Amino acid sequence: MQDKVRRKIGFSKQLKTRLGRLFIRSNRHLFVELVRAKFKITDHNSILGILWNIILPISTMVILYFVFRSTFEHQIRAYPFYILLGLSVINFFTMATSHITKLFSSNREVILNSTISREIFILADIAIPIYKFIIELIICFGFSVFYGFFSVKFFLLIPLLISYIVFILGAGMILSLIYCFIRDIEHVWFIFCRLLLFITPIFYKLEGLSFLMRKVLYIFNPLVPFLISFRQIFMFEDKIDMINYSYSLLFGGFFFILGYMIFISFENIAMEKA
Amino acid sequence: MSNICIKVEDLSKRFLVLKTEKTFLRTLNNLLRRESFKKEMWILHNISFEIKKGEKLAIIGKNGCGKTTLLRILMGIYGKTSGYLEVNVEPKALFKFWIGLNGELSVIDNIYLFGTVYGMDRHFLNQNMDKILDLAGLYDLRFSSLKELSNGQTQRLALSVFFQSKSNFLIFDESLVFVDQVFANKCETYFEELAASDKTVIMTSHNSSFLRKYCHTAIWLDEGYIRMSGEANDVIDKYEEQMGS
Repeated sequence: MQDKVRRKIGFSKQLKTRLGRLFIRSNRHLFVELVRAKFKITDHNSILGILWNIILPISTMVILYFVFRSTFEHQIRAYPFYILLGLSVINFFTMATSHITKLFSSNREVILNSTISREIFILADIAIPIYKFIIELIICFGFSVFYGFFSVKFFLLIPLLISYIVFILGAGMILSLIYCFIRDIEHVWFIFCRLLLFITPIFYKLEGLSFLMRKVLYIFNPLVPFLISFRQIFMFEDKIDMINYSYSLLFGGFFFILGYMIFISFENIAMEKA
Repeated sequence: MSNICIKVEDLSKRFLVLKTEKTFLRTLNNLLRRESFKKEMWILHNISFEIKKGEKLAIIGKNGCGKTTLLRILMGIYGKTSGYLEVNVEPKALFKFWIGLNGELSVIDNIYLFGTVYGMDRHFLNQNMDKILDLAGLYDLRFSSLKELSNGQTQRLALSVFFQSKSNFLIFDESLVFVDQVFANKCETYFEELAASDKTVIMTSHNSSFLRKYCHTAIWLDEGYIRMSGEANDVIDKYEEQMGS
Protein backbone atom coordinates (compact mmCIF):
# COMPACT_ATOMS: atom_id res chain seq x y z
CA MET A 1 0.00 0.00 0.00
CA GLN A 2 1.36 3.34 -0.97
CA ASP A 3 0.85 5.68 1.95
CA LYS A 4 1.81 9.28 1.66
CA VAL A 5 1.16 12.49 3.53
CA ARG A 6 1.12 15.77 1.67
CA ARG A 7 1.62 18.85 3.80
CA LYS A 8 2.95 22.30 3.30
CA ILE A 9 6.65 21.81 2.71
CA GLY A 10 9.66 23.98 1.96
CA PHE A 11 11.21 24.50 -1.45
CA SER A 12 14.24 22.24 -1.02
CA LYS A 13 12.12 19.43 0.41
CA GLN A 14 9.63 19.93 -2.39
CA LEU A 15 12.44 19.65 -4.94
CA LYS A 16 13.75 16.49 -3.29
CA THR A 17 10.24 14.96 -3.25
CA ARG A 18 9.69 15.84 -6.91
CA LEU A 19 12.99 14.38 -8.06
CA GLY A 20 12.30 11.28 -5.99
CA ARG A 21 8.88 10.93 -7.59
CA LEU A 22 10.29 11.50 -11.07
CA PHE A 23 12.37 8.36 -10.90
CA ILE A 24 9.76 6.04 -9.39
CA ARG A 25 8.93 2.97 -11.46
CA SER A 26 5.47 4.03 -12.62
CA ASN A 27 6.84 7.33 -13.95
CA ARG A 28 9.66 5.55 -15.77
CA HIS A 29 7.12 3.23 -17.39
CA LEU A 30 4.94 6.16 -18.38
CA PHE A 31 7.90 8.00 -19.87
CA VAL A 32 8.77 4.96 -22.02
CA GLU A 33 5.15 4.61 -23.20
CA LEU A 34 4.83 8.33 -23.99
CA VAL A 35 8.05 8.30 -26.02
CA ARG A 36 7.01 5.09 -27.78
CA ALA A 37 3.64 6.69 -28.65
CA LYS A 38 5.31 9.87 -29.93
CA PHE A 39 7.63 7.87 -32.16
CA LYS A 40 4.71 5.89 -33.58
CA ILE A 41 2.71 9.03 -34.26
CA THR A 42 5.66 10.94 -35.76
CA ASP A 43 6.25 8.47 -38.57
CA HIS A 44 2.58 7.45 -38.88
CA ASN A 45 1.57 7.04 -42.57
CA SER A 46 4.91 8.53 -43.66
CA ILE A 47 6.60 6.91 -46.65
CA LEU A 48 10.04 8.44 -46.18
CA GLY A 49 9.83 8.27 -42.36
CA ILE A 50 13.23 8.87 -40.82
CA LEU A 51 14.59 10.35 -44.09
CA TRP A 52 12.58 13.53 -43.48
CA ASN A 53 14.88 14.23 -40.55
CA ILE A 54 17.80 14.37 -42.96
CA ILE A 55 16.13 16.10 -45.92
CA LEU A 56 15.35 19.41 -44.14
CA PRO A 57 18.86 20.28 -42.90
CA ILE A 58 20.52 18.97 -46.07
CA SER A 59 18.23 20.99 -48.38
CA THR A 60 18.71 24.16 -46.28
CA MET A 61 22.44 23.54 -46.30
CA VAL A 62 22.48 23.22 -50.11
CA ILE A 63 20.58 26.51 -50.55
CA LEU A 64 22.74 28.44 -48.06
CA TYR A 65 25.88 26.94 -49.60
CA PHE A 66 25.01 28.09 -53.13
CA VAL A 67 23.94 31.54 -51.93
CA PHE A 68 26.98 32.27 -49.74
CA ARG A 69 29.78 30.14 -51.16
CA SER A 70 31.26 32.94 -53.26
CA THR A 71 31.60 35.09 -50.12
CA PHE A 72 32.66 32.58 -47.48
CA GLU A 73 33.91 29.37 -49.08
CA HIS A 74 37.49 30.62 -49.43
CA GLN A 75 37.52 31.67 -45.70
CA ILE A 76 36.01 28.50 -44.21
CA ARG A 77 37.29 24.99 -44.75
CA ALA A 78 34.63 22.30 -45.45
CA TYR A 79 32.05 25.06 -45.88
CA PRO A 80 29.00 22.77 -46.56
CA PHE A 81 29.75 20.82 -43.38
CA TYR A 82 30.24 24.12 -41.49
CA ILE A 83 26.71 25.18 -42.51
CA LEU A 84 25.16 21.78 -41.80
CA LEU A 85 26.52 21.63 -38.26
CA GLY A 86 25.33 25.17 -37.56
CA LEU A 87 21.86 24.35 -38.89
CA SER A 88 21.63 21.15 -36.85
CA VAL A 89 22.46 22.95 -33.60
CA ILE A 90 19.96 25.74 -34.30
CA ASN A 91 17.21 23.42 -35.58
CA PHE A 92 17.41 21.32 -32.44
CA PHE A 93 17.04 24.40 -30.25
CA THR A 94 14.12 25.72 -32.31
CA MET A 95 12.27 22.41 -32.52
CA ALA A 96 12.77 21.41 -28.88
CA THR A 97 11.77 24.77 -27.40
CA SER A 98 8.71 24.93 -29.69
CA HIS A 99 7.61 21.48 -28.47
CA ILE A 100 8.09 22.31 -24.77
CA THR A 101 6.48 25.77 -25.06
CA LYS A 102 3.07 24.14 -25.54
CA LEU A 103 3.58 21.68 -22.68
CA PHE A 104 0.58 22.85 -20.64
CA SER A 105 -1.81 23.43 -23.53
CA SER A 106 -1.06 20.21 -25.44
CA ASN A 107 -1.12 18.02 -22.31
CA ARG A 108 -3.70 20.10 -20.46
CA GLU A 109 -6.29 17.37 -19.97
CA VAL A 110 -3.83 14.81 -18.60
CA ILE A 111 -2.05 17.34 -16.38
CA LEU A 112 -5.36 18.66 -15.03
CA ASN A 113 -6.70 15.22 -14.31
CA SER A 114 -3.77 13.27 -12.96
CA THR A 115 -0.83 13.62 -10.62
CA ILE A 116 1.77 12.54 -13.16
CA SER A 117 5.00 14.51 -12.79
CA ARG A 118 5.00 17.30 -15.33
CA GLU A 119 8.69 16.68 -15.87
CA ILE A 120 7.73 13.40 -17.54
CA PHE A 121 5.85 15.31 -20.25
CA ILE A 122 8.76 17.70 -20.74
CA LEU A 123 11.20 14.82 -21.16
CA ALA A 124 8.81 13.01 -23.51
CA ASP A 125 8.33 16.23 -25.52
CA ILE A 126 12.05 16.67 -26.02
CA ALA A 127 12.69 13.00 -26.87
CA ILE A 128 11.82 13.33 -30.59
CA PRO A 129 13.95 16.47 -31.15
CA ILE A 130 16.84 14.74 -29.33
CA TYR A 131 16.43 11.70 -31.56
CA LYS A 132 16.46 13.88 -34.70
CA PHE A 133 19.44 15.87 -33.44
CA ILE A 134 21.39 12.69 -32.79
CA ILE A 135 20.67 11.50 -36.35
CA GLU A 136 21.99 14.83 -37.65
CA LEU A 137 25.06 14.56 -35.42
CA ILE A 138 25.73 11.07 -36.80
CA ILE A 139 25.67 12.58 -40.31
CA CYS A 140 27.99 15.33 -39.08
CA PHE A 141 30.26 12.66 -37.64
CA GLY A 142 30.41 11.08 -41.12
CA PHE A 143 31.37 14.46 -42.61
CA SER A 144 33.96 14.92 -39.86
CA VAL A 145 35.61 11.61 -40.74
CA PHE A 146 35.33 12.40 -44.48
CA TYR A 147 37.12 15.76 -44.09
CA GLY A 148 39.74 14.24 -41.79
CA PHE A 149 38.75 16.18 -38.67
CA PHE A 150 38.07 13.15 -36.49
CA SER A 151 40.32 12.90 -33.42
CA VAL A 152 40.33 11.88 -29.76
CA LYS A 153 38.66 15.18 -28.78
CA PHE A 154 35.30 13.62 -29.68
CA PHE A 155 34.99 12.40 -26.08
CA LEU A 156 34.26 16.06 -25.21
CA LEU A 157 31.03 15.83 -27.20
CA ILE A 158 29.01 13.92 -24.58
CA PRO A 159 29.27 16.53 -21.75
CA LEU A 160 28.61 19.30 -24.28
CA LEU A 161 25.57 17.49 -25.67
CA ILE A 162 24.17 16.97 -22.16
CA SER A 163 24.79 20.60 -21.28
CA TYR A 164 23.10 21.76 -24.49
CA ILE A 165 20.06 19.55 -23.83
CA VAL A 166 19.66 20.76 -20.24
CA PHE A 167 20.08 24.37 -21.39
CA ILE A 168 17.22 23.82 -23.85
CA LEU A 169 15.14 22.16 -21.13
CA GLY A 170 15.65 25.20 -18.90
CA ALA A 171 14.69 27.61 -21.67
CA GLY A 172 11.71 25.43 -22.64
CA MET A 173 10.38 25.28 -19.08
CA ILE A 174 10.44 29.07 -18.76
CA LEU A 175 8.74 29.44 -22.16
CA SER A 176 6.04 26.92 -21.25
CA LEU A 177 5.13 29.02 -18.21
CA ILE A 178 5.10 32.30 -20.15
CA TYR A 179 2.90 30.70 -22.83
CA CYS A 180 0.17 30.06 -20.24
CA PHE A 181 -0.01 33.78 -19.38
CA ILE A 182 0.85 35.38 -22.70
CA ARG A 183 -0.08 33.37 -25.79
CA ASP A 184 1.71 35.88 -28.03
CA ILE A 185 4.98 34.36 -26.93
CA GLU A 186 4.44 31.68 -29.57
CA HIS A 187 4.68 34.30 -32.35
CA VAL A 188 7.48 36.18 -30.63
CA TRP A 189 9.42 32.94 -30.30
CA PHE A 190 8.79 32.03 -33.94
CA ILE A 191 10.27 35.37 -35.05
CA PHE A 192 13.18 35.00 -32.64
CA CYS A 193 13.95 31.52 -33.98
CA ARG A 194 13.92 32.86 -37.56
CA LEU A 195 16.33 35.62 -36.51
CA LEU A 196 18.60 33.04 -34.89
CA LEU A 197 19.57 31.91 -38.41
CA PHE A 198 21.19 35.32 -38.92
CA ILE A 199 22.37 36.27 -35.43
CA THR A 200 24.20 32.96 -35.00
CA PRO A 201 27.30 32.27 -37.10
CA ILE A 202 25.78 29.51 -39.20
CA PHE A 203 26.99 30.51 -42.66
CA TYR A 204 29.53 33.18 -41.66
CA LYS A 205 32.49 33.28 -39.27
CA LEU A 206 32.21 35.08 -35.94
CA GLU A 207 35.78 36.29 -36.45
CA GLY A 208 34.63 38.09 -39.62
CA LEU A 209 32.50 40.50 -37.54
CA SER A 210 33.65 43.64 -35.74
CA PHE A 211 34.95 43.27 -32.16
CA LEU A 212 31.81 44.90 -30.75
CA MET A 213 29.44 42.70 -32.74
CA ARG A 214 31.38 39.59 -31.74
CA LYS A 215 31.02 40.52 -28.05
CA VAL A 216 27.34 41.41 -28.40
CA LEU A 217 26.52 38.11 -30.12
CA TYR A 218 28.61 36.08 -27.70
CA ILE A 219 26.99 37.63 -24.63
CA PHE A 220 23.39 37.97 -25.79
CA ASN A 221 23.01 34.90 -27.98
CA PRO A 222 23.48 31.85 -25.71
CA LEU A 223 23.71 29.54 -28.71
CA VAL A 224 26.98 31.07 -29.89
CA PRO A 225 29.27 29.52 -27.23
CA PHE A 226 27.59 26.14 -27.75
CA LEU A 227 27.95 26.33 -31.54
CA ILE A 228 31.62 27.32 -31.23
CA SER A 229 32.22 24.29 -29.00
CA PHE A 230 30.33 21.92 -31.31
CA ARG A 231 32.33 23.20 -34.29
CA GLN A 232 35.63 22.89 -32.46
CA ILE A 233 34.85 19.28 -31.60
CA PHE A 234 33.59 18.32 -35.06
CA MET A 235 35.65 20.49 -37.36
CA PHE A 236 39.03 21.62 -36.13
CA GLU A 237 41.78 19.09 -35.61
CA ASP A 238 43.49 20.45 -32.50
CA LYS A 239 41.89 23.74 -31.44
CA ILE A 240 39.52 23.43 -28.48
CA ASP A 241 38.99 26.66 -26.58
CA MET A 242 38.59 25.15 -23.11
CA ILE A 243 37.38 28.44 -21.62
CA ASN A 244 34.53 28.61 -24.09
CA TYR A 245 33.88 24.87 -23.66
CA SER A 246 33.74 25.15 -19.85
CA TYR A 247 31.57 28.26 -20.12
CA SER A 248 29.12 26.30 -22.33
CA LEU A 249 28.93 23.47 -19.80
CA LEU A 250 28.43 25.79 -16.84
CA PHE A 251 25.95 27.99 -18.65
CA GLY A 252 23.86 24.97 -19.68
CA GLY A 253 23.76 23.69 -16.10
CA PHE A 254 23.05 27.12 -14.64
CA PHE A 255 20.21 27.82 -17.08
CA PHE A 256 18.65 24.44 -16.40
CA ILE A 257 18.65 25.02 -12.62
CA LEU A 258 17.24 28.52 -13.11
CA GLY A 259 14.52 27.27 -15.49
CA TYR A 260 13.60 24.36 -13.22
CA MET A 261 13.35 26.57 -10.12
CA ILE A 262 11.10 29.02 -11.95
CA PHE A 263 9.06 26.11 -13.30
CA ILE A 264 8.51 24.59 -9.86
CA SER A 265 7.54 27.97 -8.41
CA PHE A 266 4.95 28.89 -11.03
CA GLU A 267 3.71 25.64 -12.58
CA ASN A 268 0.55 25.40 -10.48
CA ILE A 269 -0.49 28.96 -11.28
CA ALA A 270 0.37 28.34 -14.94
CA MET A 271 -1.65 25.15 -15.04
CA GLU A 272 -4.76 26.91 -13.77
CA LYS A 273 -4.31 29.42 -16.60
CA ALA A 274 -3.51 26.89 -19.34
CA MET B 1 -1.59 3.54 12.13
CA SER B 2 -4.31 6.11 11.52
CA ASN B 3 -7.59 4.87 10.11
CA ILE B 4 -8.15 8.21 8.40
CA CYS B 5 -7.70 8.24 4.65
CA ILE B 6 -8.43 11.93 4.09
CA LYS B 7 -8.93 14.78 6.51
CA VAL B 8 -10.06 18.19 5.31
CA GLU B 9 -10.54 21.21 7.58
CA ASP B 10 -11.81 24.65 6.52
CA LEU B 11 -10.54 24.13 3.01
CA SER B 12 -11.20 26.91 0.52
CA LYS B 13 -10.22 27.34 -3.08
CA ARG B 14 -9.99 30.54 -5.07
CA PHE B 15 -9.18 30.89 -8.75
CA LEU B 16 -7.92 34.07 -10.32
CA VAL B 17 -9.61 34.34 -13.68
CA LEU B 18 -8.89 36.74 -16.51
CA LYS B 19 -11.31 39.58 -17.11
CA THR B 20 -10.51 39.53 -20.80
CA GLU B 21 -8.46 37.56 -23.30
CA LYS B 22 -4.82 38.46 -22.83
CA THR B 23 -2.71 39.70 -25.70
CA PHE B 24 0.63 41.47 -25.67
CA LEU B 25 -0.94 44.91 -26.23
CA ARG B 26 -3.64 44.40 -23.58
CA THR B 27 -1.03 43.24 -21.08
CA LEU B 28 1.07 46.30 -21.84
CA ASN B 29 -1.98 48.54 -21.48
CA ASN B 30 -2.90 46.99 -18.11
CA LEU B 31 0.66 47.33 -16.86
CA LEU B 32 0.81 51.00 -17.86
CA ARG B 33 -2.55 51.76 -16.25
CA ARG B 34 -1.68 49.60 -13.24
CA GLU B 35 -4.96 47.77 -13.60
CA SER B 36 -5.38 44.16 -12.56
CA PHE B 37 -6.39 41.87 -15.40
CA LYS B 38 -7.63 39.21 -13.01
CA LYS B 39 -10.62 38.81 -10.76
CA GLU B 40 -11.19 36.41 -7.86
CA MET B 41 -13.56 33.48 -8.10
CA TRP B 42 -14.16 31.38 -4.97
CA ILE B 43 -15.06 27.80 -5.86
CA LEU B 44 -14.94 26.13 -2.43
CA HIS B 45 -15.71 27.68 0.98
CA ASN B 46 -14.60 26.22 4.35
CA ILE B 47 -15.01 22.58 3.45
CA SER B 48 -14.47 20.13 6.33
CA PHE B 49 -14.89 16.35 6.33
CA GLU B 50 -12.92 13.18 6.78
CA ILE B 51 -12.96 9.81 5.08
CA LYS B 52 -12.00 6.61 6.86
CA LYS B 53 -10.11 3.87 5.07
CA GLY B 54 -12.53 1.55 3.30
CA GLU B 55 -15.32 4.14 3.27
CA LYS B 56 -17.39 4.69 0.12
CA LEU B 57 -18.32 8.36 -0.20
CA ALA B 58 -20.63 10.01 -2.70
CA ILE B 59 -20.30 13.70 -3.55
CA ILE B 60 -23.44 15.18 -5.05
CA GLY B 61 -24.46 18.59 -6.25
CA LYS B 62 -25.41 20.60 -9.30
CA ASN B 63 -22.98 21.14 -12.16
CA GLY B 64 -20.41 23.78 -11.24
CA CYS B 65 -20.84 23.36 -7.48
CA GLY B 66 -17.15 22.46 -6.99
CA LYS B 67 -17.20 18.63 -6.99
CA THR B 68 -14.42 18.17 -9.54
CA THR B 69 -12.33 20.99 -8.05
CA LEU B 70 -12.57 19.34 -4.63
CA LEU B 71 -11.51 16.00 -6.10
CA ARG B 72 -8.61 17.63 -7.93
CA ILE B 73 -7.45 19.20 -4.65
CA LEU B 74 -7.65 15.80 -2.93
CA MET B 75 -5.60 14.34 -5.79
CA GLY B 76 -2.96 17.05 -5.38
CA ILE B 77 -3.59 18.41 -8.88
CA TYR B 78 -4.73 21.81 -7.57
CA GLY B 79 -3.31 23.47 -4.52
CA LYS B 80 -5.70 24.72 -1.81
CA THR B 81 -6.00 28.44 -1.13
CA SER B 82 -6.50 27.98 2.61
CA GLY B 83 -7.32 25.32 5.17
CA TYR B 84 -5.84 21.99 6.16
CA LEU B 85 -5.60 18.86 4.02
CA GLU B 86 -4.20 15.49 4.97
CA VAL B 87 -4.10 12.69 2.41
CA ASN B 88 -2.81 9.41 3.80
CA VAL B 89 -3.43 7.11 0.82
CA GLU B 90 -2.49 8.12 -2.71
CA PRO B 91 -5.65 8.10 -4.85
CA LYS B 92 -6.11 7.13 -8.49
CA ALA B 93 -8.88 9.08 -10.18
CA LEU B 94 -10.79 8.65 -13.40
CA PHE B 95 -12.02 12.10 -14.35
CA LYS B 96 -12.62 11.92 -18.07
CA PHE B 97 -12.37 8.70 -19.99
CA TRP B 98 -10.43 10.12 -22.96
CA ILE B 99 -7.54 11.39 -20.85
CA GLY B 100 -4.30 9.68 -21.71
CA LEU B 101 -5.73 8.17 -24.90
CA ASN B 102 -4.45 8.98 -28.37
CA GLY B 103 -6.65 8.68 -31.47
CA GLU B 104 -3.75 7.96 -33.81
CA LEU B 105 -2.63 4.87 -31.89
CA SER B 106 -4.15 1.39 -31.99
CA VAL B 107 -6.43 0.07 -29.26
CA ILE B 108 -3.59 -2.08 -27.85
CA ASP B 109 -1.14 0.85 -27.82
CA ASN B 110 -3.77 2.93 -26.04
CA ILE B 111 -4.16 0.24 -23.41
CA TYR B 112 -0.42 0.50 -22.70
CA LEU B 113 -0.52 4.30 -22.66
CA PHE B 114 -3.71 4.65 -20.61
CA GLY B 115 -2.65 1.88 -18.23
CA THR B 116 0.71 3.51 -17.47
CA VAL B 117 -1.04 6.85 -16.84
CA TYR B 118 -2.89 5.02 -14.05
CA GLY B 119 0.22 3.34 -12.63
CA MET B 120 0.15 -0.06 -14.37
CA ASP B 121 3.21 -1.36 -16.19
CA ARG B 122 3.48 -3.09 -19.58
CA HIS B 123 4.08 -6.51 -18.01
CA PHE B 124 0.92 -6.25 -15.89
CA LEU B 125 -1.07 -4.97 -18.86
CA ASN B 126 0.17 -7.81 -21.09
CA GLN B 127 -1.00 -10.31 -18.48
CA ASN B 128 -4.43 -8.67 -18.36
CA MET B 129 -4.72 -7.75 -22.05
CA ASP B 130 -7.31 -10.38 -23.00
CA LYS B 131 -9.36 -9.59 -19.90
CA ILE B 132 -9.37 -5.87 -20.75
CA LEU B 133 -10.26 -6.44 -24.41
CA ASP B 134 -13.01 -8.91 -23.53
CA LEU B 135 -14.52 -6.60 -20.91
CA ALA B 136 -14.45 -3.69 -23.37
CA GLY B 137 -15.81 -5.95 -26.14
CA LEU B 138 -13.03 -4.77 -28.44
CA TYR B 139 -11.03 -7.93 -29.05
CA ASP B 140 -11.65 -7.89 -32.83
CA LEU B 141 -10.80 -4.18 -33.02
CA ARG B 142 -7.56 -4.40 -31.04
CA PHE B 143 -5.38 -3.31 -33.98
CA SER B 144 -7.72 -0.51 -35.15
CA SER B 145 -6.92 3.14 -34.53
CA LEU B 146 -8.74 4.60 -31.57
CA LYS B 147 -10.16 7.34 -33.79
CA GLU B 148 -12.14 4.64 -35.64
CA LEU B 149 -14.00 3.76 -32.42
CA SER B 150 -17.19 5.40 -31.19
CA ASN B 151 -17.27 7.44 -27.97
CA GLY B 152 -19.03 4.60 -26.21
CA GLN B 153 -16.39 2.07 -27.28
CA THR B 154 -13.61 4.44 -26.18
CA GLN B 155 -15.23 4.86 -22.79
CA ARG B 156 -15.60 1.09 -22.41
CA LEU B 157 -11.91 0.71 -23.20
CA ALA B 158 -10.87 3.36 -20.65
CA LEU B 159 -13.06 1.91 -17.91
CA SER B 160 -11.92 -1.64 -18.64
CA VAL B 161 -8.31 -0.56 -18.16
CA PHE B 162 -9.04 1.57 -15.08
CA PHE B 163 -10.92 -1.32 -13.45
CA GLN B 164 -7.61 -3.25 -13.35
CA SER B 165 -6.06 -0.64 -11.04
CA LYS B 166 -4.78 -2.11 -7.78
CA SER B 167 -4.91 1.21 -5.94
CA ASN B 168 -6.48 1.23 -2.48
CA PHE B 169 -8.14 4.56 -3.07
CA LEU B 170 -10.19 5.15 -6.20
CA ILE B 171 -12.07 8.21 -7.38
CA PHE B 172 -14.76 8.11 -10.08
CA ASP B 173 -15.90 11.49 -11.33
CA GLU B 174 -19.09 10.90 -13.33
CA SER B 175 -17.29 8.07 -15.06
CA LEU B 176 -20.33 6.09 -16.20
CA VAL B 177 -22.25 8.88 -17.91
CA PHE B 178 -22.36 7.53 -21.46
CA VAL B 179 -22.14 3.75 -21.01
CA ASP B 180 -24.75 1.50 -22.65
CA GLN B 181 -26.89 -0.96 -20.70
CA VAL B 182 -24.83 -4.03 -21.66
CA PHE B 183 -21.61 -2.50 -20.38
CA ALA B 184 -23.41 -1.00 -17.36
CA ASN B 185 -24.36 -4.55 -16.38
CA LYS B 186 -20.72 -5.62 -16.65
CA CYS B 187 -19.74 -2.61 -14.53
CA GLU B 188 -22.21 -3.69 -11.83
CA THR B 189 -20.12 -6.77 -11.06
CA TYR B 190 -17.02 -4.59 -10.70
CA PHE B 191 -18.72 -2.04 -8.45
CA GLU B 192 -20.32 -4.74 -6.31
CA GLU B 193 -16.87 -6.23 -5.70
CA LEU B 194 -15.49 -2.75 -5.05
CA ALA B 195 -18.27 -1.98 -2.57
CA ALA B 196 -17.51 -5.19 -0.68
CA SER B 197 -13.75 -4.56 -0.68
CA ASP B 198 -11.70 -2.56 1.86
CA LYS B 199 -10.75 0.01 -0.78
CA THR B 200 -11.64 3.64 -0.21
CA VAL B 201 -13.85 5.07 -2.94
CA ILE B 202 -15.20 8.52 -3.80
CA MET B 203 -17.84 8.79 -6.50
CA THR B 204 -19.64 11.67 -8.09
CA SER B 205 -22.60 11.04 -10.33
CA HIS B 206 -25.99 12.43 -11.24
CA ASN B 207 -27.34 8.88 -11.06
CA SER B 208 -28.62 8.81 -7.48
CA SER B 209 -29.68 5.15 -7.51
CA PHE B 210 -26.11 4.20 -8.47
CA LEU B 211 -24.72 6.23 -5.56
CA ARG B 212 -27.28 4.86 -3.10
CA LYS B 213 -26.30 1.33 -4.10
CA TYR B 214 -22.55 1.60 -3.64
CA CYS B 215 -21.90 4.46 -1.17
CA HIS B 216 -22.30 4.53 2.62
CA THR B 217 -21.94 8.25 3.15
CA ALA B 218 -22.50 11.37 1.08
CA ILE B 219 -21.67 15.04 0.92
CA TRP B 220 -23.95 17.54 -0.78
CA LEU B 221 -22.06 20.47 -2.25
CA ASP B 222 -23.97 23.63 -3.07
CA GLU B 223 -22.15 26.58 -4.66
CA GLY B 224 -18.91 25.62 -2.96
CA TYR B 225 -20.39 25.05 0.53
CA ILE B 226 -21.22 21.75 2.20
CA ARG B 227 -24.99 21.86 2.41
CA MET B 228 -25.34 18.50 4.14
CA SER B 229 -23.30 15.40 4.96
CA GLY B 230 -24.09 12.04 6.54
CA GLU B 231 -25.70 8.74 5.56
CA ALA B 232 -25.85 8.45 1.75
CA ASN B 233 -29.60 7.77 1.59
CA ASP B 234 -30.49 10.71 3.87
CA VAL B 235 -28.31 13.19 1.99
CA ILE B 236 -29.48 12.04 -1.45
CA ASP B 237 -33.15 12.15 -0.30
CA LYS B 238 -32.74 15.75 0.83
CA TYR B 239 -30.89 16.68 -2.35
CA GLU B 240 -33.57 15.15 -4.56
CA GLU B 241 -36.28 16.81 -2.51
CA GLN B 242 -34.58 20.14 -3.00
CA MET B 243 -34.03 19.57 -6.72
CA GLY B 244 -37.63 18.48 -7.17
CA SER B 245 -39.05 21.57 -5.49
